[in-house]
Amino acid sequence: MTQELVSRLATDDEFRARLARNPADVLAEYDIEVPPAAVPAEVVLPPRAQLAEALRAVAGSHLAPARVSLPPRPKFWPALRLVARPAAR
Amino acid sequence: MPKVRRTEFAFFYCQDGETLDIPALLRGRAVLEPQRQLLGLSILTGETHAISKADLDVLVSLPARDWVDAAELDIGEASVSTLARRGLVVSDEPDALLSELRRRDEQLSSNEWNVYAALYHFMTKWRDVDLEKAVDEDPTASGELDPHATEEWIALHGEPPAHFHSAAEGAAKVTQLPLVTREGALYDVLLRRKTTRAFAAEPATSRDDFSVLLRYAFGCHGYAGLGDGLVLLKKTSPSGSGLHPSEVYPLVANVEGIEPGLYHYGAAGHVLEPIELLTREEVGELAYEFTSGQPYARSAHCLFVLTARFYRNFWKHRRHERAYAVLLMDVAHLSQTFYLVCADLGLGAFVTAAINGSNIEERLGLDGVGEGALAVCGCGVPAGGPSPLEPEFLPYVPGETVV
Repeated sequence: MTQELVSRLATDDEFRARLARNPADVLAEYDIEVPPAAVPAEVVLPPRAQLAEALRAVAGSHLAPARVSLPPRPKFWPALRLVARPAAR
Repeated sequence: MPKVRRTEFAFFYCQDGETLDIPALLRGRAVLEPQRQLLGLSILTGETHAISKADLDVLVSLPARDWVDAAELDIGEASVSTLARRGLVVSDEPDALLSELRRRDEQLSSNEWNVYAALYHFMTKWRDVDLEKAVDEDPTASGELDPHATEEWIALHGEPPAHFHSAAEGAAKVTQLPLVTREGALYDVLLRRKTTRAFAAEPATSRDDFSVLLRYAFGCHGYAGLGDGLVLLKKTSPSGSGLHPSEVYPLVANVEGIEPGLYHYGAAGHVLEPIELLTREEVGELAYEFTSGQPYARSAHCLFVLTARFYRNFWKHRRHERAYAVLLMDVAHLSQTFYLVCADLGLGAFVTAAINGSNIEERLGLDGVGEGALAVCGCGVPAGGPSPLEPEFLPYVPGETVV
């Protein structure tokens, strides 16, 4: 669950805004309960790049959920570079 | 009150890992902290959920083969409902999701799935994965083979295991074998076999080549009736027990005289059975989606989705620990034969297991339990010239070439 949450926070601005507006409800969707005292009056989320780094750390778990949109995989791997970026899309 | 039972298709696991410090997250800091978490893995949903010790106690106390009244459980109706919606408990409620999960539980059982095979297959199936958009990819990646990337990888993880392996280190003597060279169509095709990841827009693959490919890679060339309706088929690749449970679904983009679209290959009559006619652009997008965002698949002239009719094999090898491995080997054999026929026809070929199995099954109308996707092959007229996506292999002669 954490991995999916971090993945969305690292990629989805609309989701970040929703979490900032309503943290308790959005976190509950991920089975995360937060005591009211732990929620600040104004939610500030870490930058997307910082969350992408955290994602790489939690993605090391061998029980990452199969349906997560960002499968754990090496950052640098020549064979996977065969998945090319097209010049223009 | 509903009646419930535990599904047999769930596993429980205690995981040591790291999780985000949520209070810190809400204050702008991404801080990881150690976490030991009990997890429930539902094969019915393909999802993993954090569960409590109380949840685990209830699950362990529930029978898997007999229904019990949910009111008799002391964790409350809401908790039972949550476990049911997470695919850890089967409920007899008519709710659409719970009915579907109950159907999957019954299908897994009646299709004689081995529980370890089911765990691997359903927990590793992808949906909506787009490798091209993964944020953990190097944003400067060009898609080209890059020695610098290899250097970085080695710096992170150390030297790779040796490209050749010898078990004779320290042994006094090895037996030198004669270097016999054979010539002929088979040997020529074996040496020309390669993976292609760039295809020409024109010319299209000819209808005859397409037909030859289907017939000689996936078609039926013999049969043996064993009585009582059991017929074994002979194809150009081996299959466990001669059952040939693999099915082929061509996704045609650019084949002379064949409308773009999704088809099933009917091996009995060597026919294409249309599932959905599409534009060439739509086929390209579907090829990209099926192969989890591998851009070169868009330019392939045709993709071939390889599925397994699981029960064709499990009917004989009921809940067998090795049966699923045989299904994977079956499609692997087919892909090699596909490569060889493509090489003979002058077509480029590729195969990938990095596929969005769930998306494919939905598009093909498969339930995923009785029949499901395992791999995708593709082919087409190769693009002229070297491709940055394909390594250049130099000749190797044992005893002469030094690598």
